[in-house]
Amino acid sequence: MPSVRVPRALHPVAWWLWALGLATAVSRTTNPLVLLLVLAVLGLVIANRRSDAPWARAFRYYLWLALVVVAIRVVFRSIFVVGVAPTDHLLFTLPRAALPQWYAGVHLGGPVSLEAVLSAGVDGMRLGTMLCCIGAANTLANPKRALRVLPGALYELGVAVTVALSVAPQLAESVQRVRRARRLRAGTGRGVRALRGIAIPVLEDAFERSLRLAAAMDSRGYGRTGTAPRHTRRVTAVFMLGGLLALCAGMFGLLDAEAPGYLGVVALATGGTLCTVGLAVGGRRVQRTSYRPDQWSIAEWLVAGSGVLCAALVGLAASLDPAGLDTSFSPLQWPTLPLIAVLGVLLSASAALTAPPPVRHPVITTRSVRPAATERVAA
Amino acid sequence: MTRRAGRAALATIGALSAAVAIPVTPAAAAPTHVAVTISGHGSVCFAWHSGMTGDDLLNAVASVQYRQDGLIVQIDGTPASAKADNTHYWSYWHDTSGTWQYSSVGAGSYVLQPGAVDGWSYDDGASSAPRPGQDPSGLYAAICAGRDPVARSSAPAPPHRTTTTTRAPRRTSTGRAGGPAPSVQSASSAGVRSPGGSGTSAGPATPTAVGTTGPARASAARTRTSSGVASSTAAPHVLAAAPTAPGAPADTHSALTRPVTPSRSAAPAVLGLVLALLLAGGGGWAALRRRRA
Repeated sequence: MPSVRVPRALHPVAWWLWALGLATAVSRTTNPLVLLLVLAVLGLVIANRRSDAPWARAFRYYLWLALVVVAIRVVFRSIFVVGVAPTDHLLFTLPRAALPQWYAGVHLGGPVSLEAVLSAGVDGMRLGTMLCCIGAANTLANPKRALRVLPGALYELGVAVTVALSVAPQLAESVQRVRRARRLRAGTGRGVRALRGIAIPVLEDAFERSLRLAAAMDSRGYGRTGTAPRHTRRVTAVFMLGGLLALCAGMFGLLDAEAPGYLGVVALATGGTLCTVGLAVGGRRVQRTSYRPDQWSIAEWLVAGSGVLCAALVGLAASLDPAGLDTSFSPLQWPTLPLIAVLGVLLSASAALTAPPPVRHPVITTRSVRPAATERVAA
Repeated sequence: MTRRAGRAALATIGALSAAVAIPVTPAAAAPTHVAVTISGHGSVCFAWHSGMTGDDLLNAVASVQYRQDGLIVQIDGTPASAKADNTHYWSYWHDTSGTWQYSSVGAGSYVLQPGAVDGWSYDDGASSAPRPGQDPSGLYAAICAGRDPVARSSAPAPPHRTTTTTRAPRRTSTGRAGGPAPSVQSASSAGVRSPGGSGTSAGPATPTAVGTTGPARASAARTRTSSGVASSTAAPHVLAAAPTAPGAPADTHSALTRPVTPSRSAAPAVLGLVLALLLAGGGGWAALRRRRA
């Protein structure tokens, strides 16, 4: 007997871990086949497991952003021509313009080869795919519930971001309302001239709304600094600042090849501990209860685990067979299919099955009323 | 009789002047080639054309792999990993008046002049890049003497060049002692020796591919053997042996061989595309089902 799975929302941290694992895997490779597979997996999981909330419909904008990134890279590579070998297939030639010698003699224009366009395109596709991974996490995980996992010390920051996230759809709704009112009053002007007529009422509306929200939050006790004495707050601030500085130094040490060894990992570890201590000390003063916390069960383990496993397998493939993951386009040849990396990406697609089905609210639109939907609502 | 004698005298005078004139090559002629030496892979002489950059020259003589941003990561298969960072990279040098100078401009922007010598050496972990192994003085002549006559005449010390012919010293009974051999062309007719050509032959006693061996040359060989010419380091046995340029492998006339990369089949790419299409199709089907429901 098939068991019906109860629709529920997966813990947002599980979706974020899955998406970050995929993004880490993408950052290790420039193989266009692997990148296409990751995009296909993202599309599959989103189509199967996204809810109907407004923030869950924004994935196509991330795809457009990825396309813009690819276009910018290709255009820049075509203008600043470097490394054109004689064996390249030339597409067309841009007129040459040499910048003066005191500008390091940079040359603009020149022959645009197919190899250069392809390599720039694949490089842009890698960045675009990473952006799409983050976009997928935003689409699948409720942002407001994701902010609940912030530590207590960052509580006020979390509240501010939650309010900001609620404002954007309210702003869109406000703009629509003002435009409808203008049409009813036969508002004149189109385009830029109409902007003033729309912007001012919308801004006024937003200001009024935020004042009302602030008053409501204040009456419920938000925004109080709590019972922590002054020296505790100072100690917290010192720990956090020191930890952040050490983290910066550690990142610099890791990225710079000539920095001394102690600067890299040691500074990172010191910074990490200092930040953790600061967050712990600062979180003690904030007492909050959580209402209906998200559960972390088997499905969360499977989804997060598939993302982490994908990152691990692609990392393994990168160390075993780096040539398969890094395609070079001169000479022009077909890309290979690195088996371990592809296996990792396909495993991450299991999230489409292991995650619980999303909670669906039947939507009644004014244009087309479907009888099945109305029946469900009435029942 | 007088006419014949006169004609013979004229002929000898003409031949003498020709023989004198020929070794004296005008030193002010412009070079027509450029040379490049790649550490560990040899040196090549290449014909120069206007607007040629260091990058053009390198691609003409070796197979080069570039990174996405245009950095050279591999020349002729070195290094095998085709990776570069700030301590493992190919460094670009110019032979400027007898010394190696680190190039301040990239290979794609550096426009070569005829007679220039480029050097490429791989920095394998050292904090500063090593100079190319060749001794930079007289390097253009050393590399391009076989192709460029100007190089030959202007070459200072190194006397032996690569050549496709090897010459064995011969011994004949006939021979005209005195007067070292004409060093350059065999345009001088076979029977003529020019005693006046001694000065110029102190230069490179370079056997050329053009040179024919004939009985007349036998004497030249013998005289070369016997006379300790300024090109003393060019001992006769060097001519017979395979000549080696300083530090370079034997054959530097032909361009460095390009490794032929076997072309890959499109099957893995097609398989990958099919997989991606399947997954995307699954997503599209789910979206369609959602819209209908």
